[in-house]
Amino acid sequence: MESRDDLWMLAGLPLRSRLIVGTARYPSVSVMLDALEASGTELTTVALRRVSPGSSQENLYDLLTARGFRILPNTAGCYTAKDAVLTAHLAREALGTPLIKLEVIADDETLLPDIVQLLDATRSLVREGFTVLPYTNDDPVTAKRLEDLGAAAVMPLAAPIGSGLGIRNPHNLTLIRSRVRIPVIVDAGVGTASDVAIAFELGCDAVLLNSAIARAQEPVRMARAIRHAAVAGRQAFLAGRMPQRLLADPTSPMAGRIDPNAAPIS
Amino acid sequence: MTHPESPESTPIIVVGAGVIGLTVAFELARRRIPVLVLERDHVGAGAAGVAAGMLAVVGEAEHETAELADLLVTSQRAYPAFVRELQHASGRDVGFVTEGTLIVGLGRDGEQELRHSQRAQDRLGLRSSWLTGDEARALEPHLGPRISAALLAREDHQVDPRALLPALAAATEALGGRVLTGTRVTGFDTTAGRLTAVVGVHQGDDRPFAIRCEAAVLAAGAWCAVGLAWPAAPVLVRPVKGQVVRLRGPAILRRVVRDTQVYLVPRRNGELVVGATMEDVGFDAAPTAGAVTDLLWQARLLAPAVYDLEIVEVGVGFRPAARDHLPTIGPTDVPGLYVATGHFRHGILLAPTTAVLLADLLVDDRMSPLLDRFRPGRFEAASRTAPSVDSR
Amino acid sequence: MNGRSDPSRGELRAAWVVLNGERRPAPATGLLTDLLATVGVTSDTPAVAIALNGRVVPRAGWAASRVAQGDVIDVLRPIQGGT
Repeated sequence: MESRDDLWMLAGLPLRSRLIVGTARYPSVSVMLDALEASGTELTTVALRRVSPGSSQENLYDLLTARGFRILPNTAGCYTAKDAVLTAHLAREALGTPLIKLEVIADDETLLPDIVQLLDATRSLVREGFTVLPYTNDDPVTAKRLEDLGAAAVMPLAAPIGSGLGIRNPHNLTLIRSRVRIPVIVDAGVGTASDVAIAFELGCDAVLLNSAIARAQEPVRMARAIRHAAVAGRQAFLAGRMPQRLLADPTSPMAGRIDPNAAPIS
Repeated sequence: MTHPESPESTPIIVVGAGVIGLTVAFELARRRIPVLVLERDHVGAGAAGVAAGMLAVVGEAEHETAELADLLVTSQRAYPAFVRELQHASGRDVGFVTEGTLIVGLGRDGEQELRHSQRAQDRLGLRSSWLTGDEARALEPHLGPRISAALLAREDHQVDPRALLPALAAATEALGGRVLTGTRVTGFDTTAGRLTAVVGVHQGDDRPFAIRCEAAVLAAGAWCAVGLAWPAAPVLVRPVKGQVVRLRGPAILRRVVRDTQVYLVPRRNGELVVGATMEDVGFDAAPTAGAVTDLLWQARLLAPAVYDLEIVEVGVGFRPAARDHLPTIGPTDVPGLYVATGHFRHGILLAPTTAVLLADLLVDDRMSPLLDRFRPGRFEAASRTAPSVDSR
Repeated sequence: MNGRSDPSRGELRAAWVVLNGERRPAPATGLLTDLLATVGVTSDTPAVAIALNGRVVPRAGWAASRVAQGDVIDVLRPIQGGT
């Protein structure tokens, strides 16, 4: 479904699907795997936690990699740069990937990013050779700063994490897209398929989402819908939309219409 | 050498004296089949001893698929008769309370969650009534002022697992079965591929035992995944940790009250059970400050009067969960060896139906079509067809 | 026995460490790999990271690492997570 000649590059990694899908909050692991397949994603996010070993014959890593999904570890739950940097190191160690979705959260009611800590953590992790994908607010200035620090992409939010409110400030996303050269990945707040289509119509390179699929009444069907929406939005962006107008512009010519008052000419 | 107390042979052995194992044993004993239950610890040492005992169908609709809804509804309808027969056979009360459940919403976000739950219920053909916050408070005066809406699920009752399990053990023994605690099963003997005996060790002195049997039912919950030498493909379950706080004091609620974060289950003995976390952390049995904080914080929003209740206990249990969160019930690849585990959040509710379906299978060789989705081998077929890394 | 242990803590008492928040006897050999073996983690175990007192121990360094009385060892794995 995704076009073969419309690959996008994430820090040198060519990807066909423009969706990055989270692995949390599904009704079950089976539904998660089916939904990931249905979304067409190639890259899935995981968190890193203490787990007592030897408790189960199945583990998430094997289930995901056996199906060919690449893994993007996150630093969810980190509230300081120090915390996030340690988690990134553990993730690189556990998963053998330099990719890190960097989240440094400011408070637990809004889950909005703490920009001061985020810039600090980005600086450290870039210096230590990580491919840093920072989750940030939809501020063009911050996005530019992150690019200047060496982030591999910027991940502005559409709305708060898990809110499903959709894209609250499309203009800021347009500004971000026009001001940085690295990929712009809309992260968090997407609620349904049309939100995804809009993100791509705005020119964003990818969308990262989780709850919109996981918490739908039918996650697998929603994953499929969102895959279609991503393709639709991206194709619409590439096609280049028509200009918007205040007043109507007729699509059929005026010339050659029949005259209802036509009378016999004497 | 066998233990003096353990017999050399018995027709049917059930491994695990949790709610599933004991209910299967009770059902077999009712059918006059001699049954022996082997438990490594004590009766109810696993998940059921911590469980709140909600018999929730409507309240769990959002978590469930249509596949499980049939089994949940069947079991919920079977419960009153099951309780009646169990109380008669054991001479004990099991704390069956039939006041229903209030599912409440706090503020705008809470109401939206309720609407979402109601849509999930509709899809499964389940019904509940919508109440305003004030209507809910008229039913339960201790509900907090921030509750702005509620769903009343009239059939979501509760039972007290800490009364239920001893009653099941007593009833099984009264009907001629046996429950042997302190015996840890480590594997199974087979001859020509067929189950012939259950083997293990006695806790404490580690003396081995082997008990011949015609059939065995493995009902060891999350522990089906560990410490067992499998003669067949192992049943895949993982432990999902749940922490539960038990409070005591003046009765503040009549019925179960819950939202998407927490449930409050009032017992007739004055206990209030507040649960439960869902943690994928393996067998980590430590109760944690974070879980208690989260549970009690949310409980206080639902019913502010919990503030003054006494903390009696913080319990930790491990729900057995398969990859699809559906139970695993039925015959394994080894003739004579059966499995009943993976009941996840629904062990107490699903126990009677699980037991009847399994007893039909063991005694009459009758396989209900209801069990089709819960076959032990269902994941092997799935993993064989899964695309390989290279195919992407 | 172990260069990092503090004699004032009393070498005669059984030494313990904290593994994933749980107190356990320290391995007699003092080797990290022996402690990890008790929970089934070996150098071949995929997708696992080890932190010793809040610092990452790279896989290549497990064999040479020692654990002593009071050390905090965490075994981390990927779990389901999103944004």
